[in-house]
Amino acid sequence: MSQERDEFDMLRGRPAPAPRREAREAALAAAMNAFDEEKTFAATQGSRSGLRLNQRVGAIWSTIMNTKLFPAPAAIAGLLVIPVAGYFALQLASGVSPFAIGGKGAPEPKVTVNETGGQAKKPAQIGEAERDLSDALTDKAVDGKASWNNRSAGSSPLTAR
Amino acid sequence: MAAMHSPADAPDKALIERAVTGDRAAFGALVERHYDYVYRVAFRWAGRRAEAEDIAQEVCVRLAKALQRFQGASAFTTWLYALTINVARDLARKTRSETAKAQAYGVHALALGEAEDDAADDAAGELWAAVRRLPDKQREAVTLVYGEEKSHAEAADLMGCAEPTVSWHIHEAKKRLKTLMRPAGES
Repeated sequence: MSQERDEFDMLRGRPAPAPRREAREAALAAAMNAFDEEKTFAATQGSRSGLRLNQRVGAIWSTIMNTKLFPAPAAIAGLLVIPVAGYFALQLASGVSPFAIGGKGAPEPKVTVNETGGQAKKPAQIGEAERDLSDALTDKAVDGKASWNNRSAGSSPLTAR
Repeated sequence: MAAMHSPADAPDKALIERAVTGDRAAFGALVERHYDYVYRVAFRWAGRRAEAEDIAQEVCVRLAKALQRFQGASAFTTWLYALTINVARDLARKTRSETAKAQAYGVHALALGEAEDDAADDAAGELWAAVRRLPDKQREAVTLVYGEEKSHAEAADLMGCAEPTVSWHIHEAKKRLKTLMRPAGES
């Protein structure tokens, strides 16, 4: 399996030509010049570590940012947060204040009382009333159609002919 | 303990600590010790000696300031590698407009008699030239794994990405190189 020929293998072990001596010396001289210039303004006076305040802050920030956070604390936090959030969501969905203790904060359900002061009608009674209303409407519709037919019979141009 | 070493023998860590506090000799020793490494990385990246020398010099200059930011979270060479690649990219960006004017730097360089040192005089040279035409991440992955002979894990550490990402860059590079290396007219 690993015997497969890698076409990139020819890139391996190809030595780079040595740098020229004068280039090397020029680079070292430039580096030392840069170091001297840097030193003249980078070092602070009166501080032991030689770092400026913003460099210290930067170092602290960098340390924090480079610290690898492990998933365990996040998982524990999640386990704590999810039940609490679930409880709140459930309470809010049922219209109850999540801070109500023992259901005292729950609003009383409104009961509509008949205007006459009587009791609400039972479902069977309601069904009967609906049926009566529907019969009455059907009768009225049939009567209306008949009277319209009678009225229009004499005046229609078709029937007059 | 670190003060007991002469700059030439002292470990990197001690030299860095001394250089940061203003020790000139320590800084000089550090630069001298790592110049060849920086040059070699630059050469793998650029493919030309003159360009690699320019990059190495710029890295040495920037090191004077950047050294204070070295936290020691990774090996010094790892950090130095990243600095070298950043400098190489910056210099490439600067010269890109000139390159465009001269149609291509290779043409320009050949006209000046400064051909690519890692020139296409053999199959490996041709392949390296093609590698340098790859997108940056693929180029970096190939350079690290094949040029610097790092493992995928080490390359991932240097590139600041996951190991499978390096493998994916290598895979993509191979696919692209097959197209780049295909003779003209061959489909």
